[in-house]
Amino acid sequence: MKRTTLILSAIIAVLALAVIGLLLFINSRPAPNRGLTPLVAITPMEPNAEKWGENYPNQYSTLLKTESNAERTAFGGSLPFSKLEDDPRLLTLFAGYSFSIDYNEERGHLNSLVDVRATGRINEKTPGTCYSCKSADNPRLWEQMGMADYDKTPFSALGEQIDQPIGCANCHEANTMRLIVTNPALEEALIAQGRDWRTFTRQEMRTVVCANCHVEYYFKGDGKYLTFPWADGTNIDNIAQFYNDLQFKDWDHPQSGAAMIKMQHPEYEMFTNNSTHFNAGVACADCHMPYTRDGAAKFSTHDVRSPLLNAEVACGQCHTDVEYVTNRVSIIQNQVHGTLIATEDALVAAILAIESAAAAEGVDSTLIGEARQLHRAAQLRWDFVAAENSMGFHNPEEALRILAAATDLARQAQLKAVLAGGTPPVVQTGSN
Amino acid sequence: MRLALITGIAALVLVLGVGLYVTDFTAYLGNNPTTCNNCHVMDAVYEGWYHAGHQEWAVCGDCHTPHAFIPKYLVKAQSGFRHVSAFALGHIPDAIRARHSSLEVVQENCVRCHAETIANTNEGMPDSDRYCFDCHRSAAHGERGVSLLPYQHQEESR
Repeated sequence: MKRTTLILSAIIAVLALAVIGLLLFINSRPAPNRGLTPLVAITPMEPNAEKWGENYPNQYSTLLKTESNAERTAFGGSLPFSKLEDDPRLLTLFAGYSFSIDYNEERGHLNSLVDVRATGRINEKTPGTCYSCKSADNPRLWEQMGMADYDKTPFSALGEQIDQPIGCANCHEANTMRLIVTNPALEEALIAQGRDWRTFTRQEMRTVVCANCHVEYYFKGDGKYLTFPWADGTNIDNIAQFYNDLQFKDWDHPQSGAAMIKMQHPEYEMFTNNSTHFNAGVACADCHMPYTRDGAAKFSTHDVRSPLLNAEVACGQCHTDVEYVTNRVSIIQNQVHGTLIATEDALVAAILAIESAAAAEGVDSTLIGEARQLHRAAQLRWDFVAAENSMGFHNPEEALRILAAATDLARQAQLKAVLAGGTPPVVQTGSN
Repeated sequence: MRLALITGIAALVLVLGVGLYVTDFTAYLGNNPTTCNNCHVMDAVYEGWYHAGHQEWAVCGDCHTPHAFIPKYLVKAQSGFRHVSAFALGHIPDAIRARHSSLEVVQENCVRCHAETIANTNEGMPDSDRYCFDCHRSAAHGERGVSLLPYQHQEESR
């Protein structure tokens, strides 16, 4: 009897161990590859989108559309019209700076390289930094050279190593297709804020990868080191303070004499600053690269463009009444545009007032100095809305708040100039 | 015989314990949508949901399991058993269709959240035997189509 019990127990134990062993073995198997099985392996940071396209033909073929998707919307789109011809006030606002020579609406992603080489803002002194957002060769070059050397190389010399426009490698890790931050300047800006993109969710990354480029930036020091002015925060008041502390300027305005800042496409900062869509969890890609059906296949379209050109799909994913919401966009953009033009008129008035006051005899130079400071503060705020590609829609309340502040500052600048120019005492003090 | 009994019970507990650990059992008690997407067959519906309008408001369990505690875990247990058996025995149908009981659960959940809306139009439940999603077909998973899934769910798969 005892022997049978022992044998039985041993059998149970051996069987149990076998099952446990099997379970542990199953658990130690490598995780299966999710998604499509790639047809070809892609070299890490492969610049040529055509090679990635063999694995991802839908994404690639929609990316190709960005070369010719030059359609204009009411205030933007991808048709390269001249903003200077559209609004001649810009000639005064950007006087003395390259943006008064050439300032066109940008085209789709695949035109990035052609367009950066064709712009009148490039000259023999232009640093390589200007290629930072224009090519899928960048992740490879940054890896090889480091960004400091990349930025120091002159534009023309660096251009010899670059032949691809924006492509897959700017946002994706090869083979896993994971969304990644590739621009070292974005990585550093996030670190400065104590944030690590590697901990971000997939939905967060569908906004953050756009910040590889669609942000305000400046060139730091003689090395023209690409830097995002985010150390104090990403709203316009933080950014203005950052530039003031640094005493940074892009150029001197020849008429007003103010030390000016040019803003670049701060779409990420505007959208993520408590806009209603951002707070509701919407990512850039939800509207600009909506989930699209082609035959039986569904994928995020890579024909990145204005959602207004694709509203049924882009807005219709969440909003049931697409006509109503696109009308709302139109109303909001017209409100912002009207306010923007009023701000420009105030800025032009300020510039002319400072110019004539400064030329007057016995001018109060302290007051003129203050007027110039106000001009700078006003115009960089206006530009934060004007250079942002949504005519305020990415964050309507914030855009109007900024424009209100800019108009106020511009009129203050004009008043200071009038005072400095020696207006009668009755105007200055309000009494005889 | 007592030794065999003790060994048997100990072995059972151990095997069950290791089994629960290996299958990441606790994940299936929660509400995280990436858990449902542990199985490849869920890829297309997961991606469809991820890119559609309900993503921000409702996860898989909010629609596909009852809201009350006990029915929720009863349904989870039933479905879990059915899914594991189907997976283990290879009986996964090419086109996965909701069972009648699943349709009822989903319908209840549509009403649970949208009660106020339908109160305005229908004074409660529609009097026909139709489901909300007979008409609102794309509400949760977007327009029909097969997701290509270029995305690899590295950090989210477990």
